[in-house]
Order: sequence, then structure tokens, then C-alpha cells
Amino acid sequence: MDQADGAPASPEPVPAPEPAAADAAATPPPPKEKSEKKVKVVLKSIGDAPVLAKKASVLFIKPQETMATFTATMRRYIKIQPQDSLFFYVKSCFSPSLDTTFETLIRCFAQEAGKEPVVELQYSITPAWG
Amino acid sequence: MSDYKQLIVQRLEEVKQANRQTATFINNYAKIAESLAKNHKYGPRSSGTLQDNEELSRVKTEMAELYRSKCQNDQMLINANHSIIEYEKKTTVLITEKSKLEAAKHDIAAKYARTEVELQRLRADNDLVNVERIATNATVTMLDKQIQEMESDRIHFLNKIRELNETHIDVMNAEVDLQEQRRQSRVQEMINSAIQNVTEKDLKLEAMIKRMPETNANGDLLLGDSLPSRSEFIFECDEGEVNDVHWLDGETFATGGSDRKIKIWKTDGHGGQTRIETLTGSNAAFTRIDYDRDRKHLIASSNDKNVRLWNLDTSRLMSTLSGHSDQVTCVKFYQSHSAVSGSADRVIKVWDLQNQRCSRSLFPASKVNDIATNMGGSPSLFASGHFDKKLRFYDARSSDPVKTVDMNGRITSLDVTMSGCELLISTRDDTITMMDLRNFQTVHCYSAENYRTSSDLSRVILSSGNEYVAAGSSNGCIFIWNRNTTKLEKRLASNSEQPIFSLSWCPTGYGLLSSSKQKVVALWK
Amino acid sequence: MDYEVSRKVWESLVPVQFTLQSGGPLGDPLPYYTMLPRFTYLALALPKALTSFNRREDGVTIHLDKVWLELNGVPAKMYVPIGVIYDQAKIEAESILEISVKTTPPPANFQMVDQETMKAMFMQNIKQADYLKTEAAVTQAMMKDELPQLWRSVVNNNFDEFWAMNRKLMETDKEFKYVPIRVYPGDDKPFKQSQIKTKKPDGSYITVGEAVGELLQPSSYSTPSSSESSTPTSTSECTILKERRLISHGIVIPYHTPLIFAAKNLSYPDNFVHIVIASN
Repeated sequence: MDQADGAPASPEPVPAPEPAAADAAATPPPPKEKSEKKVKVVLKSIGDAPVLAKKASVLFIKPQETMATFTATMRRYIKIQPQDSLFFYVKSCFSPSLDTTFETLIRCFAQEAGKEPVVELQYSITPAWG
Repeated sequence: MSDYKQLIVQRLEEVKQANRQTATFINNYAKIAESLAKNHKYGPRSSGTLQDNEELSRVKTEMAELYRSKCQNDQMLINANHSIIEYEKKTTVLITEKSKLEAAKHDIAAKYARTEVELQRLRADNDLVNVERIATNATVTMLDKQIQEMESDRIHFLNKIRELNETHIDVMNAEVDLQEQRRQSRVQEMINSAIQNVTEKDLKLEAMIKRMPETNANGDLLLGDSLPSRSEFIFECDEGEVNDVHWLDGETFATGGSDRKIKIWKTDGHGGQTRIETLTGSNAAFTRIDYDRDRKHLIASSNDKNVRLWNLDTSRLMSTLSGHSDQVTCVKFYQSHSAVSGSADRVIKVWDLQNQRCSRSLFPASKVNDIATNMGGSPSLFASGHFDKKLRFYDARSSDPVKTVDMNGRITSLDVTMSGCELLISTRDDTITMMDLRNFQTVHCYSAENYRTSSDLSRVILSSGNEYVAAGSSNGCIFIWNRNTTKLEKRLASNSEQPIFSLSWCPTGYGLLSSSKQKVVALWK
Repeated sequence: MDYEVSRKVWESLVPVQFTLQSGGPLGDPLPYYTMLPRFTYLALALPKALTSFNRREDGVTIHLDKVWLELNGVPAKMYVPIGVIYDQAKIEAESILEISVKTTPPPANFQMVDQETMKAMFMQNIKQADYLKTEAAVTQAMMKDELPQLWRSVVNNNFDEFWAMNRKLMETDKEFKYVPIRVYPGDDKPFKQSQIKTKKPDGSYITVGEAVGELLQPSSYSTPSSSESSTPTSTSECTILKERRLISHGIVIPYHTPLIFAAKNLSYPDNFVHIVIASN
């Protein structure tokens, strides 16, 4: 249903946080559209999941992006093997449902790290925390 | 307040009602769909022609036949299967049995091999032991031979020693004779000069008599008891009561009392004395002193429940023997390396002085006032005098007294004659008894008109040569009786009227020490 | 817990129609109609529908992992409670939710959810709700098999067993920190969720209407396009709300219902209050 408002199917997701985009994210947020504020996301590997470089683990994601499309994109970004699963966790506690938007995540579960609110997501290739 | 709740309940109910019709339709639909599906599965039942019917019946009978034969075959098959299963079971049983037996066989073989090895080892050991045994036998015979040689040597030496001893005794006898002669001649000389010089008689005689023990005191050779007649010196030594006084040799003596010290004094032979040692360590008054002349060990009992042992060569406290639960009233050396102590806690303890521990405890059930050791007959025998007027004799074995003798009063002190055959007993009824230890019969009784036993621990002694019996009275007098005639020989009155607690007769036989309740120690000659 | 309301909410049913478009040689089988509890999930209902389709004797068995579901031309979300799907898809009551079962290759944005995955998603939702309510204090104190037991009572449609366990999550020692509430703004947009407290600073209870108003207000992260279109004048929050009805469990929820009442009695088994906005 979330595809209805024009977000294309996963092959070309909106933020396209490929390594090149992630590099750009390390510099001040890309000034594509002044009014659109992006959500700052920090990724942390747990368990046996591949570890991202410090630069690459900070992303800026559009607030209307959902966990479903984000997960599909991240499978390629983190280079998860096809046979492995990919789980995201918030607050080391629960995994957000598929149609949760990043707007919801930043509103409900933001971490005030310094001046800027940030969403910290833990990712794993095996289920963690029950 | 809860109108929203009513609204919600009402609306939920409305939706439910609205859904009810739909639900009915859906249920009916489900039923129809199910029956339709059933129908579809089994197909419609169509009716055939008569021909078909005949054919059908024929086919049916054929079918029945086939079924029957199938049934039979099945039965056979089942039976066959059963028997197969049975055989399989048997086979498995046999196989397991076989494997079990094989395992057992394996075990036995292993055990056999092990036993074989063990046997071989034992054989080797046996050979070894045999060889050793032969070697040992040879050694034994050799050693036996040596022993025989040594034995003959020993006998030879023994004979030699005996010979030497005999010569020694002869020499000694000659010397004693010589000395006796010399003394006699000197006395004779003195008598002669006394006769010649009547005016100077007393002084000279006294000087002579005084010199005599000096020359003879070196070996403490006892020359016979001399009856004291005057006090050589009187001095105050302690803070309070002097409980015991004890000669160590012809010149030195020890005192002990309520000042919690043992003091060693040396007489200078001219009516003076100097303190040469002070032994400390006790937390209460000392009660009795005993001295072992061979080892130079001094032992003393104390009211602080302990017994202490010193070495006078080094003046070192060797051990503190603790174990009594009340004042220790007396202690005596006993056999070699032992001591016996008695206490107000109604326990007698035998101490092993080498290991500094109590080797025996005896429970006579009465306060112990004095102990006597060195009895004749059995060296392990010792006697204890008690508050309950009983005299008890113990030996090394039994924990009960071997003999108990009832006296007429509380026993204050015990002393044994040199021969060890008689015991001098002082009792609180102002009498002193001499008892023959062979039959426990009273031999003599000593008493005097003014003689009063000074205390429960008042000490009565025999003179060094056993000729006299001396006792201190509560009025400060010392009474001396002839041992054999029981005649009161002397009554020495001191200036003070303090009770005399203890006496000690100089081992040379010349000089009697007394200690009193009030600091005073006196030497009588 | 209000037994009457909770019981009625639990017993609330919706009619659902499953149609199979298989393109098989015998044509499509008859549609499968059923009344489903609002709290259940398509993931739980689909196997029964497939059994009904497979009763036909044409030999072609439809397997669970070979189909996908479509609703009103878009892939259906099997992990959303059926009641929420119904409220979102249908404005009129008494109509039937039409689910098409398709055997064509599924589109990429369709997520097949089997029973085990559904169970995991359900429990994650409970944990998220508890994180909002108590910072996960209750779920962390729970024993290992207590959450699965909650799920079993949902699968077996056992009201008493469910509430015996759900009581722990609802009747907490402290007041809820935030209320787990999701608002579906309509037009198939993703739900909105935020940190909504139970009381105002002055101590009075926040109502459902106020909570929804706060949720729909554009946050600093709302996309400019949507904020422009949906809230032309953000000042008159009440008027915006007056034009809308708040639908949950097929009924209009009164604006002045205290949010805490809704959280305890009108929440779905996943502990979230799901409210669909319907314009008048």
C-alpha cells in the first residue's frame, strides 16, 4: 500500500544510499531540496553481521521511507548474502514493523546525540533479543 | 462520564447486528459449497441397463472370489511374516548372546594374559627376595659373631670396672679413716688447749666448731647433725610471708613467698648473707620449693596455679607448667625428669619435665597439702597428705591410691627418711608422727606443751642426718626432738612471735634455716 | 480493563471473500466466504481459504508459497490486523472485504507472511508497544514462553486466556509513559505514530480526539507536499478533526473518549490502538 503514493519499487529506492551517497552523507546534508529535512540514521552491526566503516554507517534517509523499502535497499548496501536474513532493531529491544516510516522512528525513538536527533538501528543476520 | 463508553458499546452492538445477516449468508454459502464439493468428488449415481446388471453381478461374484483368495493369500502372507519376525527375533537373541560370549571370552583372555604377566613378575620378585634373604642371612651370622665378640669384651670390661670399684672403695675408706683420725686428733688438741687455757675456752671452742664445717663443707660431706643453739643471723627478705626456705648446698639457699620471687642467697660464714639471684615469673606467691642437686634444677609451686622450673646454672626459666585450676600448694621432683604437684583444686598432677606436659592427673577428691617422694621400696611410689586428714599412697600404675591411711588431723607436711622406709607426718592436731612405710604403723609421736602447728602448710623436717626432727610453732619457736627417743632436745625461741612456716636443715648437718610469716628468715647454728 | 467493551471488541467480526484467479484448466474455483475476527491476520486466514480451494478434484493443489494477495488492485498486507485493513478499505459497513488470491509471480512489494513470521512480527509489535508504555519493563520481566502464549490465544481465539496474560501488559505498576497509538491518515499512506502522553500538563486526561490531532500535525520531518495538502490551516486543529471521523473496530470513536481508556480496551492484541481517519 505504501507504494501507492508514488515511491518506486525497491530496485531504485528514494535515498539510494549506495557507498557514493554515503560519502556525501558524511559531509553536510545534500542541499537538494531545502524544505525536505532528512532523518539521520546510524547503523550498528551486532552478532555476525558485516561491519560497516564508521563513515558508511551514518545515513540520511527521507522521512517517508518505510522499513520495508529500507530493508530491501540495505540488503545490498551492507552486502548481505542472499541466503542470510537481515533484521533491524531499535533501542536493542524490538524490530519495527515493515510499514513504519522513518518519520515515526525519529518521532518515537530518536536518540538525542548532541544537537541533532538521530535514529540508531542495530542490524543482525540472526534474530536477536527474542 | 462514561457516555463515550455507552456510545462505543452501542456502536459495537450495531455493527454486530449488521454483520449478523452477512454471517448467516456466509455460513449457508459455506454449507452449500461443501456439499457441492462432495458431490463433485463422488460423481452422480447413474442407473445402468439390465445387461449391465448381469455383467455386474458376474463381475461381483468374480470379485468376491478374488477377494476370498486374496484373503487367504493375505493370511498366509501374515503367517509367513509372523514366522519371519519370530526367526529374526531368535537370530537377534542368538547374535546378542554370541557377542556377549565373545566379550566374555575377550575378557577372560585379557585376564589370563594379565595373570601371566603378574606371575612372571612375582617369580622375578621371588628370586630377588631369595637372593636378598641369603645376603641377609650372611649378614646376620656375621653380626652375631660380632655380638659375641662384643659380649665377651663387655664381660671383660665389667670385671675390670668391678675391680676398679673395689680399689676405689678401699681408697675412699682409707681416706675417711684418715679424716676421722685427723678430726679426732684435732679435737683432742682442742680439748688439750682448752684444758690448758680455761679463760679462752669458750671463744676458741666456738671458733673451732665454726671452722670445722667450713673445711668439710666442700663436698657437703655429712659429718653428723649438730644441734643448733643460737641464731647465726636473722634477716628480712620478703615483702610478706616466706612460705618456704630450702638449702641448695652447704652455702646457698633459696627462699620463696608472697613477693612472687624466688631469691637465692649465699651465706658468708660470718653471720651475713648476700643475694646472688632472683627468679621471677610468677603472678602470685610461691608455696613450695624443691631442688634437684644433680641437674641444678629448681622447681617451685605458686598460687597462680602454675609450677615453674628453672635451671640455676643459667638462671633461665625452663618451663611453666600450667594445668591446675587452683593454687598449687606443693611440688616435688619425682623419679628422673618428673615432678609431682598438688593443688587446692584437689588434683595431683605428674609432670613430664622433658616434654613440659602433664603426663598424669590423679583425683584424690581433697585439697593436697604436701607430697612426699623418694620412698624406699618402689621408686614410683609417692605419698600425698590431704586436708581431709587422709594420707594417700600412689604408684605409677593405678589412678586410685594403693593405700590410704587416716590421720588424726589435717596433714600439713610430709618428709621421708634417708632410708626411705619411714615417713614423718605433721598434722594439724599439733602432733608429728613417724610412720613405718613397710607396715604403715606409727613408730614415734612427737609433741610438746607449747608446740602449735603454725598453718595448714606448716613444714616439719628431719635433720640431714635423720637424727632429729624439727618443727616450727605458731608462736615463733622451733622445737627439735630426738628422732629415736622422742625427747624434746631443744626449744629455740626467736625474738618475733611470728609463726614459723618452713624449715630447712643444711645438707652438711650444721645449720637450720627457718622462715616465718613476717618476712623473717633465720639461720640457727 | 472494561470487560464489556473488551469482550465486544474481541467478538467483532468482518465478512471476507477470497477469490482464486488461478487460470487452471477447470476454471477458477468458487469464492471462499468467511467471517473473521477483526484481531486476526490474513496470514492466519489464508491457509483455510487455500484448503477450501484445494477441495476441488482437478489435481492442481495451490501451495501457500506460490500465491500472493491483492486488495483493491494493490498487494495486501498480511501482517496488519484484518479489522484495520477492513476499516481502511471500506467506508460502508455491511460490505465484504474482497481478497484476490493470485498465482502470478508476486510483485516486489508484496511480503508473504507465514504463521511463524507472523508470530515473530506480533511479538515485536507487543515489545514496541511495551517500550512506549513502560520502556520495555514488563516484557523484559516476562518469562520466555509468556509472549508465545499470548500469540497462541490469538490463534485459538481464546478471549479469557488472552486477557489472563494481556492483563500484565495493561495493568502496569506505573502509568503509561506514552500510549501506543497508530493513526492511518487514509489514501493508503503509512501510519503516523508519535510520543503521546496520557495526561496534559494540567493533569486532565488527553482524549482520543486530541491525540489524533497531535499525531496529524505536521512534524519537522513531514514532507512539505503532504503537509500542504492535508493541513491547509494548521491553526484550527478542531475544525480539521470535525471534518473527519475516527474509525476503529468498524465504529466511530467519540472524540472525547480518554486516550487511556482506548489504550486499555480498544487496542488490538498487538497492544496498539489503530485508528483510521475517514473524511466525511
